[in-house]
Amino acid sequence: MSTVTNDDFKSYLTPFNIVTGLIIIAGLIVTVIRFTGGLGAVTNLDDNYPWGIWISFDLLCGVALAAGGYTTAAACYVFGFKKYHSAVRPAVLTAFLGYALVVMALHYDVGRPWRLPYPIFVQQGTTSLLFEVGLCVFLYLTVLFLEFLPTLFEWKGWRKLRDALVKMTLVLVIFGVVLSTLHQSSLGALYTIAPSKLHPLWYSAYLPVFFFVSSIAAGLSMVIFEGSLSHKYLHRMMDSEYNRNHDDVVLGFAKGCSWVLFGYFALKMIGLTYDNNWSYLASGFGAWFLVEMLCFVALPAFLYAVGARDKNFALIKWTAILTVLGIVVNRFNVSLVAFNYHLPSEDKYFPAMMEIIISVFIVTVGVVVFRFVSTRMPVFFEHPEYKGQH
Amino acid sequence: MEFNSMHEFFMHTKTMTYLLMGGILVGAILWWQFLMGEKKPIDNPHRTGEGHDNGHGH
Repeated sequence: MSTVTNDDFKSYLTPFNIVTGLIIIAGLIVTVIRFTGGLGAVTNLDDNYPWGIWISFDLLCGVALAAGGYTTAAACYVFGFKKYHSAVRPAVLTAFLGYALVVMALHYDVGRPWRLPYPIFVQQGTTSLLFEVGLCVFLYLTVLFLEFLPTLFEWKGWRKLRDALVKMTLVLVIFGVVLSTLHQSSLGALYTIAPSKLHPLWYSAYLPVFFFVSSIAAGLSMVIFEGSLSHKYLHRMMDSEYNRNHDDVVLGFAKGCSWVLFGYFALKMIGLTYDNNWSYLASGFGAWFLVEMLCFVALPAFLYAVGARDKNFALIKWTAILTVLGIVVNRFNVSLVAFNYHLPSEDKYFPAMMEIIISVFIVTVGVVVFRFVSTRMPVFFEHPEYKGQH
Repeated sequence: MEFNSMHEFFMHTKTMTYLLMGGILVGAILWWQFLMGEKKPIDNPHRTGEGHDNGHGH
C-alpha cells in the first residue's frame, strides 16, 4: 500500500500548480456566485450591453483561436501537405478544448445549463443566426471529439475502435472544414443585424467573410504560438518525427498566414471602399481602426513574409503572438469597443472583476487539461505500436 | 464628395472598388514574389543527414 509522504506533497507545489490552483479556486467561487445570484451579481451587463467579455473573449476569440484544428487538418488531409501531419494532433486537441470551453463559457452567459439541448433537439429557431451558430458548434465539437478519440484509444490500447475511427479521418476533416466555414462566418453575420449600433468602420455586409478569413490567420498563428510554447515546456514529450517537421510547420504556416493576412487586409479595404467610409478615418475611432489594420494585420503580414524568407523562427513566433493579439483586438472592437459607439462614455460597458476571473479561469482550465492530456497521450509523439499508420 | 442619388453613390463606390481590386491583383503578384523569395536553408539539428534543404519541402 502506498502512502503520500511530505516529499510527494512538495513535488506538487510547483509554481504552475500553485498559480493554476489559486485561479481555479477563485473561478469556482465566482461560479457559485453566478449560478446562485444571477448575472447581476457578477457582471456589469445591462440593457445596452447584454453581451460582455464572456461573449467577446471566451466565445468570439475562443472560436477564432480554435481554428487551428480545421486549418491544420485541411492542410494535411485535404490539400495533401503530409509534412504537417505531426501538427495535426496538437491542433485538434487545442481546437477540441477550445470549443468545449466555448460551450462551458456560454453556460455562464446563458444560464440554466440543463436546457443546453433545447435549441438543437426541442425548439429549433431555424430563422435565427444563433441557431446556425449553435448547431455548427454542436456538430463541430462532436467532429473534433471523434477526431481526437484515436489518440485516447491508442493510449488505452483499444486498437479496433482506433482503426475504425482512423478510416473515417478524411470524412471527418471535410465535415469539420464545412462546419467551421459556416459558423466562423455566422459569428460575423450576428453583427450584421445591428447596423445602427456598430461603428461604420467595423460594420460591413462582408462581416461574415471578414470573420471567416481572419479565423484562418488566427488558427495558423495559434498553431505556431502553441507549438513554440509546447516546444519550451513539453519538449520531453516530442519524438524525432515531430521535431524534424516542426520547422516545416512553422515556415509553411508563416507563409500561409502572411498570404491570408494580405488577403484579409485587401478585403477590409474593399469593404471600406464599397461603403465609402474613408471620411471616418479622420476621427478617434478612425485612428483606432488604422491601428488595428496597420499594426495587427499589415505589420504581421509583412513580418511573417520576412520571417519566412529569412527563416527567422524567433521573428515568426513573435509575429504569431502579434497576430493572435490582433484577432483578439478585432473581436473586441466588433463586439464591444465599436459597439454602441454613439453612447456617452459613462454608459459604456467595462467588465467586472468577477467576469474577468471567469474568463481567466476558463483559459486556465484549458491549459491544465491540455497539459494533462499531452503529457499522457500520444499527442506530440507517435505511439510505438502505430508508427506510420496514419 | 456629395452624392445626389443612390445611382451616383454606387457609381462612385463601385468604380473605386474595381480600381482597388485591380491594384490588389498587381499587389498580390508582387507580394507572392516577395514571400517566396527565400534566402537560406533551415538550420535544424534534428534534420542532419537529410542533405541540403532549400526550404521547398522534401
